[in-house]
Amino acid sequence: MTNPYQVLGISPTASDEEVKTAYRDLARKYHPDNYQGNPLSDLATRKMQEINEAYDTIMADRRGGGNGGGARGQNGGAHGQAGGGGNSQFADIRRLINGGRVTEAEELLDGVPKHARDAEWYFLKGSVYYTRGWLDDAYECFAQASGMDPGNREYGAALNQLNWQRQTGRVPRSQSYGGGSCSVCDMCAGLMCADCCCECMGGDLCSCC
Amino acid sequence: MFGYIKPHQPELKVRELDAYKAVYCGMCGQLGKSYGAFARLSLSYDFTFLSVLHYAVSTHTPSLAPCRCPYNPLRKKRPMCRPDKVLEFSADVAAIMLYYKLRDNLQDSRGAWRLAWYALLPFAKRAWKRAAKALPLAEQAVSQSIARQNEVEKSSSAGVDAACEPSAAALSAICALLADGEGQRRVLARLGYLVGRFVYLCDALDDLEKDKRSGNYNPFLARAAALGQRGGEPELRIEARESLYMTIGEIAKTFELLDIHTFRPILENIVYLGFRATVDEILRKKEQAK
Repeated sequence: MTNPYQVLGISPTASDEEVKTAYRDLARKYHPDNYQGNPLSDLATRKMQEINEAYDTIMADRRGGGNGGGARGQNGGAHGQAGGGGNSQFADIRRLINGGRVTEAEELLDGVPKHARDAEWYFLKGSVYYTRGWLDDAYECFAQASGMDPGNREYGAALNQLNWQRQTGRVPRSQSYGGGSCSVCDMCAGLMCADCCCECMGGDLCSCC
Repeated sequence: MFGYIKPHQPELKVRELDAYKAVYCGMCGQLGKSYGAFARLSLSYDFTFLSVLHYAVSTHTPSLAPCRCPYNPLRKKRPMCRPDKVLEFSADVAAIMLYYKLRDNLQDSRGAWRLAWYALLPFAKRAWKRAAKALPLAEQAVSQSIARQNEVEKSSSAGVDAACEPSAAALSAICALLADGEGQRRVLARLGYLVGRFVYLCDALDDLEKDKRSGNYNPFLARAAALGQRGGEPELRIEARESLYMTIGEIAKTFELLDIHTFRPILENIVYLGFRATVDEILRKKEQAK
């Protein structure tokens, strides 16, 4: 079995606080939200499981056989694939995309007549592009889907993620690398991002925008 | 490839920079050993990145030895990676790409340059033949991508993504060869795809003004024309930057799933800082040129 300290990238002499910080950083990195709709999401889920197990092992060890806990819990691991909600008219196409069979999925999508192409159609078309690495077309499709159905969380999340990357060249929520200091700009950007997230969940953080 | 994949040096630790330079020098030495002095001309940051990535995902550790640079004999000896399987792989890929690059240059240039490329071609061809024998899959991927690139650039309807596809697919196939397990193969294939896309788009951004003047194909100009936009160059540059940044974010996400044994800080520097620094540097030069 792999060394749990190695999994978290820390030394066995690290303090409890350091273990927690390392765990939180990694959990944020591999959080299922970051890999929603990603063709590699199963690997991210596995990483998340490894991290959870490593953290539990270390914490159980340190408490002399007691149960882990503490920082862990809210990041419960795999959410599984995009739900593909009950009233989806493209359930079979969703299954194909989740199974990585994008060529078949695209054929079926292209067979849908123009007048029947709703927000979900654009979202799924975007997912096909995204899986293939055609990011610009994926972005266009997600934007179209979001525009047609602004209240949909799934479409909003996909669009927000690519939008954040377009503006910053970084992954949403991943910890800052390099400089390390948090400038006023970072705080504003963070607030903006938090507001976007709240809004796509139906709430609002800053009422002015 | 064109030297767009490099670390952001100010943020590297001294020992990390030394390690990076050791791979760079090792790459040069390997090119000389495999294909003779002329092949050293094809030395670039991009193939150094390929070697660093290869070391990182394999269990093979480089062996270092202090060496004198044959092209700069006055400089004191520096650690350098000894020729090995990893460097040989990158040198073979470099030889394959160099041959196609020369053929492409020969088509595009006139006068003295054409003569120079013509003179180099026999050497490149000999190297290419040997490299193609060593890495038939890589050679297949590159030759296919050249043919498909020509098709894409002829059809005016192709979008930015379609234009990237041939280069991206070639690098995807090459990076997939580095993997030793199915999971890692998938990660490396996507990583290679995205890095190939990044390199192609960087080159397109670099050549934006030149292509506009000469009327050559450029994916960003083609996209603007297809959308009927008559925007100026500043808008085009912003759109290009957004496409590139989006690709960088995606590269980072994919990179995080890679199991890395060595050189992690160098790769993190390239992925989190180097790519963005390259884009910003291209844009800064354009701003200054005005």
